[in-house]
Amino acid sequence: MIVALVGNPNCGKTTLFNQLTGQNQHVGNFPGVTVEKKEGFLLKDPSVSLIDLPGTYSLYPFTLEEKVTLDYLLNQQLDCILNIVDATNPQRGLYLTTQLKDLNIPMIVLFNMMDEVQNNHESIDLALLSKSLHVQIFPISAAKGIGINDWTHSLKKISSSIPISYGNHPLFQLQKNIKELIRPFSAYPMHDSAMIIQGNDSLFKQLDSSTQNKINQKIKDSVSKQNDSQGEFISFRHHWIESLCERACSKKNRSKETKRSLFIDKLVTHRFYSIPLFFIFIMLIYGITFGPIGSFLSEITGSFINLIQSMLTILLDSLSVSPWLKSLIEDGIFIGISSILSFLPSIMLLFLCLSFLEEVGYMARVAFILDAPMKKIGLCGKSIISLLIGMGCSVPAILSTRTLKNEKERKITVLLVPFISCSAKLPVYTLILMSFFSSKPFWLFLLVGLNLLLALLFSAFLNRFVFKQELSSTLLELPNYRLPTFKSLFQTVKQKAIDFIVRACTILLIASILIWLLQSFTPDLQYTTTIQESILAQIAQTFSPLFNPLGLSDWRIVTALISGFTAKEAVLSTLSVLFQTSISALPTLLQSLISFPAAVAFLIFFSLYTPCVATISAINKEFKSTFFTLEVILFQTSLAWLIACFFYQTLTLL
Amino acid sequence: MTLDQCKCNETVLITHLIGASPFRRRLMEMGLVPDTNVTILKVAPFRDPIEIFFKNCRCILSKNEASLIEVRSQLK
Repeated sequence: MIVALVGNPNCGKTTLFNQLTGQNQHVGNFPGVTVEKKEGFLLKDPSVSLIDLPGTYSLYPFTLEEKVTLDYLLNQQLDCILNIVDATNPQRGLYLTTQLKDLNIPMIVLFNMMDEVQNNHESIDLALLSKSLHVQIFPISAAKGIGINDWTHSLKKISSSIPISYGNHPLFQLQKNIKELIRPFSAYPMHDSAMIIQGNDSLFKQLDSSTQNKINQKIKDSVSKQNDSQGEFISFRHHWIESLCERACSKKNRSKETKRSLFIDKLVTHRFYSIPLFFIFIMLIYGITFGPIGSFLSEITGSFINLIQSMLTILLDSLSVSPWLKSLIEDGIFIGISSILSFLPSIMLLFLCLSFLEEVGYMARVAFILDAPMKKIGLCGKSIISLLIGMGCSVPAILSTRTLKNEKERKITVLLVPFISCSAKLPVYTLILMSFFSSKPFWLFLLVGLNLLLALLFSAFLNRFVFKQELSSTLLELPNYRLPTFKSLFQTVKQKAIDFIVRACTILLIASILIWLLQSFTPDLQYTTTIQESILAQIAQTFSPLFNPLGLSDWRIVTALISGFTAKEAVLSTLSVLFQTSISALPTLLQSLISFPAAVAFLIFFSLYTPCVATISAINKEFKSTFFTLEVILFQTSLAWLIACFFYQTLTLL
Repeated sequence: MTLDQCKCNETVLITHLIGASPFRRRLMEMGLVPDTNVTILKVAPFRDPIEIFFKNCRCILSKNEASLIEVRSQLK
């Protein structure tokens, strides 16, 4: 059986999905976490497959991600819709419920967050709602795991859907009349009828002209003023729901959660304090990740890795394997991967901080306080959310732009994501900073700041000269602050850690082995221990003149930068492999190899040059243009080269 | 009077929504239909957008779009 999970953004849909399927995805307390549909099987009954669809306010799509939901519902053979309604605000959620009922697909409704409702000493007459809407309704609390499996018993018994009766209302009569007219042409006549009344032309245009005329006449007869059938229809539904909720729900005061959130927002979205507070939060994230806590954890991991390395050497010696195999395992595989793994703690800390801010509900506040200045450079408040996600990884950041309605803002946001220093770049920053700078977090902040400045200039440029002006709009729900459960935070961080380790053991492993092969064999395929004779040295030497103006003529550094195209962390593992040394010895080596200005140039070039393969393919998917994607690669790399060159030359003159 | 002209902490009643844009549709779908009470809670640090409260829900809305919403002050 196929069951689709549908609901408003932020109604706890993804939390429920995780609870039901045991899959750990990200749960965010701001609209737009599920951008692609996700599939899983019920833990309780594996014959039921559950699809988590992007949150939507209505079946008349407004953004790209809402279209994903509608297309899925209309084109897939579903056995049942599982509609989640936020019980703390049933009026909002039930609008979507009435639209889903129009589809005439069997449906079960779950009222989520019932624990909060009870906590506020309020009550909802679910029996009355159930009778009026002709659906079964179950109270649940997805976060606490209460009642989440109760509905599964009814699943097998539900085979049909009874339409809602809105009584004698003229617009309901109109919807039924048009439904009869279009029945021969439509798989979902009640839904399509509602869409036609609301002015959605896609189906209307396919009808023959006599049916079109009949429909137009009927609409004209039923609508009272100014031919606003859309407005009147939506109002009619909302008023029907409002009066139903007035009968079913106890008198609503502002809930404890709302009052608490309003109180917190007195400071967090304050006219003067909110902006400095935002920067303090960002600095805190970098401080935690790279300050004492991060370094301490990295050191522990580092010494643990060293221990394994010495054990590995003893083992290989005792087995007396051939020198090339020993070199492959030690210098190719182990050094490459271990250099990356020692940064795992820092990266997990970064993701912990980011997902905490996200799940608490802070991201929507950032959108509120920074919307106006962002509009000036062609972005919007929500773009900030994507850019902040980009601090973790560019790929989900690019996917999250689908929640942006305005196409110009969406494209500019996608193009800005590569400017944000993702977590994979951070190990490399740390290495260079350790070698050449005394105060790490400060210089790191300066570098990230420089990138940000360039991003803003670039954005302003795109906004002014490249994309045509479009009217921009902002409408975003401010969810109540919710303290994330330890479990969900732990799951998010665990998932990121697994992703990271999997990458280290796949892409980076292959890259490391490839680099080792190229550096261990001469062009006539003889094993060699003198790297200067290797294939790699030959290739890199052809490229290295390009890097002379940056002070980075050493071919090993050039090779490392090239390998960064597969994944940014690969730069570090490649350096380790090429210098045949562990990560802890690299800083001293680099100090003797390149000058201070060259180190600055390296950092700047590395932070700005072409995005990694995964990001490139995400950009390509969003823009659907290979030419454009190639332009992005070329642009980023030339920009990186120019800026790095500028800094190197200026610093050398000084 | 339109919603963007209202003062902070003022509660007003929606009378009409101007235009026929998709954005107007979305405002209405989210519950900003005529005869709904709206309170302006806050204006963002850079004067735009505004934060509103209606039907037990908080939203942020740019002034541009708030000017689509015609309101009248409530008679007490």
